[in-house]
Amino acid sequence: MAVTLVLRFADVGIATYASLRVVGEPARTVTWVVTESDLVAALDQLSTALPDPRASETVRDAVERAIATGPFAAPGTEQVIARTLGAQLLAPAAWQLLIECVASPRAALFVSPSARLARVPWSLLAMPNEDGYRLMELADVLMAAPSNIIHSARTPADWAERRHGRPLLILDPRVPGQRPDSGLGSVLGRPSAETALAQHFTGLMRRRAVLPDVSSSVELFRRIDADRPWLGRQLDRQPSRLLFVGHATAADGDVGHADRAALHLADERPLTAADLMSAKLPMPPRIAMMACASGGDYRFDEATGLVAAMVLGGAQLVTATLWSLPTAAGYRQFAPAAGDHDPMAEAIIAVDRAHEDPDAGRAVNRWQREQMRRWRDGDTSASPLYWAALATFAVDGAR
Amino acid sequence: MTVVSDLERARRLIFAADEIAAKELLLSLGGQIEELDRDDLLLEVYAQLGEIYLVRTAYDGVEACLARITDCLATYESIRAGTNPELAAQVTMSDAEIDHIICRYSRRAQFLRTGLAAAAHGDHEAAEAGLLVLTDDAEAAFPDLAAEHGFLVTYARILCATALCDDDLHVRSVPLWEQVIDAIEGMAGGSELDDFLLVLGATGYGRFCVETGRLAEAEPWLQRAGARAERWGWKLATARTQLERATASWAGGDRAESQRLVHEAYPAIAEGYRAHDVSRCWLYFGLISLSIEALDDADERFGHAERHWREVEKPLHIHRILLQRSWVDIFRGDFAAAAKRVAEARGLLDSWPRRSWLQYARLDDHLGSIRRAEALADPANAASKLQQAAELKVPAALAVDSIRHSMTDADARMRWATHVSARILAGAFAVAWEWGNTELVSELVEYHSARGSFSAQPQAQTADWTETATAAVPVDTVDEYALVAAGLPLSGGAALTRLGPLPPLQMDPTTAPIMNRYRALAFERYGCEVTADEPAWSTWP
Repeated sequence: MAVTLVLRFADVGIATYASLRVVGEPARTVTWVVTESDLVAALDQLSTALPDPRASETVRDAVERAIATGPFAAPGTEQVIARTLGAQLLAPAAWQLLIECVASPRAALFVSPSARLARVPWSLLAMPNEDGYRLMELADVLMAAPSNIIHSARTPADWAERRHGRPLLILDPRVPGQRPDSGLGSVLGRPSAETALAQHFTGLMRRRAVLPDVSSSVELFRRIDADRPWLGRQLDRQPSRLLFVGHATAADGDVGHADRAALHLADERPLTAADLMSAKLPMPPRIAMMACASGGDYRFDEATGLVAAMVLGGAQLVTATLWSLPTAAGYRQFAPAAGDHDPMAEAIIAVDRAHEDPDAGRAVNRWQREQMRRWRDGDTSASPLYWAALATFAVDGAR
Repeated sequence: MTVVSDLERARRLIFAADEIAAKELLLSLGGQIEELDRDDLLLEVYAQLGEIYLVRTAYDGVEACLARITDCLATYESIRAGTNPELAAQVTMSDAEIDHIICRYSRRAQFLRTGLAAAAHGDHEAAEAGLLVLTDDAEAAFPDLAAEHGFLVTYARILCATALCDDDLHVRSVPLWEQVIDAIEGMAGGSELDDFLLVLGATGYGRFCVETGRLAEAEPWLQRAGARAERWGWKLATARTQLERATASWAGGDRAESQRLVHEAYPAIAEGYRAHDVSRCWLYFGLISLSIEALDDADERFGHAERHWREVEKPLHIHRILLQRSWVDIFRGDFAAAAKRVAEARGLLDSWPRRSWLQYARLDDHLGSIRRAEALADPANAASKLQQAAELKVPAALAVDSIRHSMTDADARMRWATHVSARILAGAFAVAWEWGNTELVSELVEYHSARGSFSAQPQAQTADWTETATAAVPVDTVDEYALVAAGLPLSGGAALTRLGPLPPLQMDPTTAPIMNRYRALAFERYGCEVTADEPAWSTWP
């Protein structure tokens, strides 16, 4: 039985308190304080790396900065920020406890960040010493849903029962009235049977049927019928899991209104977390939400509201992105060496595969570690803008 | 007729708060009125004198005026009832004229009774009943008195609402303020009468807003009141708007502006002899001294405030100034003196019938701050002092925080967090941390994260001492919330935040639910059930 660790943060005025504990061994608990100034410095530094606009930046500027010049543009600078975050957010005693818990199988580390730390890519954090181990090397990093949500009245959908069912794939639904290059336009580009993504799903369809009913994988993309009633009908067919790739918007940048975070379907109005909850849509056991930005002034920094709504709807494992992933077009524009490499497709395929694994959260971690090692070894095509953005929330013993 | 115009002049002097001149003028009219044998004019003199005594907190004077008015009216009533034929024979007025006098001055007397009950005795129930009599007195026979009646009703509402706020009963003042604002907004404006109410009402409502933490809402009302008062040359009224703006600046952290305004306001307020406002000026003078660590000055100034509040017998405010003064003791390292003052403050609360559990929670939290300061000053005995501090601060924090989660309105929740619970909760975390009690810190973190990070936390926080005597009063009924928190959780349907208390939290399979003892203390001390009576939630993944 693998060890379970719990890392929690609480913002309390000018200080953020943290605890790291080993389930079943409370005597080993360590606690520490992150001061306001350290916290602000860490978040400020992190924001220079992410593709979300800072201050007066446009989305285009932000994506360019993140890909071309920011700390996540090169392994050297990324490592510096990973160590800084590791030093500022985790106390030495916490790193020590994590080292002591290194085992096989890997320990599962559940993180519940405070609201202000919601965008921190925990798995990327590096131990601030010469070893520089990443958190994801010491443990599989998962996110904890609040007790509040877990203990709400809900009927969890069980992966063991559903795993032979059909996955529901919602890929880049066409938001009405949006040109392909506008703010809520296409994130995957023109559908074509030749793309890596289309080919991946063709392969998947050879192994099992999928939802919606399509004869070729290219029909999965840019659908105009994927609105709310359509979603309701698809979910009623008890899919094994759901993969959503498209736009998601945060709650007006307004902490405290997480229920306004929303997904954009082929619908005039975005589907908010609150809508999801009031519609009581039955969620499959596993969900992947790959939020992307193709431009416009949308950002996605509060997955928590949507994730919580999905858990309330029955999901037990939700992989979400901590920030908007730059589209392939955006990536290629600012990373000239990229050629026709498509890191977005790569991430989507990896998550889609991981969600077929018995332990989907651990499988996502495995892919993240592989990417991180490629990146650390100098392969800049394995950008942390994609692998570090993934966070998997797990409840009811899912890993 | 000169007496009538003199009475009007006295009225204008009262509006301008030049009460000494007004009183002299009114008293000088006695002889002439006697000669004229005009009881109606005499009644007007007593009614105006009563108003003067009321605002100057000379409550014996109000009682005396009321007695004179009541006696006189009783005579006329007996004439109209036909029980006093002897006097009836001497009266030259018509029945209608007598009824007019009875109607007019009964209302004026009722206004004084209402104001006296509210301001002098803090008997808000009697004031409310008195107000009801005044508002119900809708005698339609004399349309020429309708405007005066409207004036008296709004004026009385302002006095009642202000008196409620003086006793921290802001929630109960809300319907009154709503009526006052409606009346002010509905006035044609421009007349001295209307503007007097506007200035008085807007100043009072502005203060209400500041005291309940709505600084942005207060500002335009205070500006408007100030501008109008200035236009009429009403110095005291202008100064009172400055004082309220000073309190808003202090609450907003702008000490320089607060200092400027309170210094500007003080001379007129002292000259106007408004005891409560004089004390409030001294309180802010003291706070400003404390902010630059001028401890002797601060102590002296708080001392003045305390003395004035003792003179007008305001137990709640004496209680608060004692707590505030104890910070001077704390900064001087005289913890025994601080504890003594806090004990006296507790005694005042114990004997004050309108005390609330929140006042006790804040008091305990403050005593915990003294223990904490003692610990920091004496590292050798720190552990036991910090333990005592935690015993005081943690239950208070659990109580106020549980109330926050009983509030269905997100803005009310945020205000409660900002003005009440966040500071106390932060104090509880701090002592647990300084005590080095890993178990307690981890339990507090667990408690804090059980609801998820969906509700915003106030971020900025000022030093503890800045809000001891000036802490905002929640406009949400705290006693009501204590009941809500003790009841079943509210099922808000589709919400990410469960409202109401959570069940006990068990954070590890090998341990019991967390903070049992502190939860029990919170219930014992404040009557707050901080956990729901449901099976414990396990909080490990």
